Amino acid sequence: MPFKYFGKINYTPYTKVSKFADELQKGKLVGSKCKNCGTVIHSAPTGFEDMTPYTLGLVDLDGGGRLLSWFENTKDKDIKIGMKVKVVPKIFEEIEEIKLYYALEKK
Amino acid sequence: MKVGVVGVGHGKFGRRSDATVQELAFEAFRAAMEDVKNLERKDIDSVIIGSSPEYHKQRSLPGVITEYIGMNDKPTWLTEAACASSSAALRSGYMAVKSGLHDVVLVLGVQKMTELNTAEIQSLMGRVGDVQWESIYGTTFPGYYALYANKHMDTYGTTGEQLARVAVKSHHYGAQNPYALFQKEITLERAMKSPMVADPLRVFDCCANADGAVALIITNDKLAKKYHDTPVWIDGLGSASAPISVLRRPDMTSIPSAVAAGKEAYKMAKVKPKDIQVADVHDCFTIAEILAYEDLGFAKKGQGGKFIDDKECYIGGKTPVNVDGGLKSKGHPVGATGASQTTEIVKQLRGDCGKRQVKGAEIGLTHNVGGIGQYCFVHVYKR
Repeated sequence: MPFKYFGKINYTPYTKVSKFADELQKGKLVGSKCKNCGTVIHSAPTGFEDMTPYTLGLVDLDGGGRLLSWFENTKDKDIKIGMKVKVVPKIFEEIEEIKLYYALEKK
Repeated sequence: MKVGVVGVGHGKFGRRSDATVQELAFEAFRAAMEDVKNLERKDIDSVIIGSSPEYHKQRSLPGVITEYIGMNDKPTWLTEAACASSSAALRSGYMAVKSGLHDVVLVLGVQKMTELNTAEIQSLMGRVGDVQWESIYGTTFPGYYALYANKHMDTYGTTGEQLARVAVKSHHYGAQNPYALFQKEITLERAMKSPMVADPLRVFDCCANADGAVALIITNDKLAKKYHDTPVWIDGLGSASAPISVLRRPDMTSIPSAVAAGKEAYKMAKVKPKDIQVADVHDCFTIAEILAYEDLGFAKKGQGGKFIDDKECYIGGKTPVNVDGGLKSKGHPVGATGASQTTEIVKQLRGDCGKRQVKGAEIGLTHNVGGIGQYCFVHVYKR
């Protein structure tokens, strides 16, 4: 069950983040539906100006819990409330550290 | 004991490069002192500042402002609840008077936002969500409300045209308000063709950042008539909180803290939504006003779009809403907004609003949302 560590409505389990990351890396967070909503950001905050427009999705996962992330590799015209999405692990590479994040893609 | 507002002072909202934050505060304080009679500085027992400090270069605002307006050595403190900071200050002042600790309290909402550029403000406002789980994806304040808008559209069929109609109404009344930032009417077509900010919210769906200050003087029922012939009583107070993160909001078509705060205020004032004759609600975005119609019970759930279509929120309609132009036209100096809403309702209940007057209004309401609804303050006022 995705997000089983996150409680009934995804109450942030700060001590369980490593387990979440582990499941994410193993590709277990797939097959979820974008049951909620999204938006395309055209006016961005500091640090994100070069990325606009970018699309955010708020996703209710099939197994419970909710997450917010970017859509990647998905055309805006294909994004609809109720569509199937998968949660894909990604890596930000920086000079002194590696950060993991997740993105949404059309399934 | 009843607690009432006896003095209001509203400064001009806008890009106020002519004034420092303490000068903005003094402008509002002076106007409030001119609004009362028989009141001197020495009669005021405390100064409560409502503001969001992160937008200011000047730190420790209560100390700076209280000295500048000549109120040392009266006690002073800050209340912070994001965009609802001065409604929180009014609640704090109400408690001070009601408890008997103070007889007369100055509540001063003030904000100077234009020391920062738009991207910096977007960044700060985006962080009213959960920084660890949301801000890393470039969330913005319009972006959060856009999530609500899209969900409301998908669930209830609300349209972009209905959102734009809220903006048209706001500018219609803002054009008649000398304190508003935007004093021009707009057409529906212009609103609907304005640039996109966060889909489906366009430029005219969003309020503008602004500088400004508003002062309120409140006291008890023994002293009120001494200071003003028409005191306006704070009869109901409601306040509630909600999870900061949209990840923990079960329903993205409603602000739960607004629903709870409204119910509490109605109960305390012994009124129902249909009894409210004029309301000033937190329309930081047009969708926020539509949510407020529903959350406060002016319209049935899902019928907020129809409420604006039918002009029920105009003067002459079922419940006139934001007939001062709202945040949308007045601008949104976040710390001053709640006090500005109170000022409008006080003036409406006094019968002092000229062309914008809701005839015979005796019961009014303010609804001030902090952040994306992590705070909400609803106040019911009676003449």
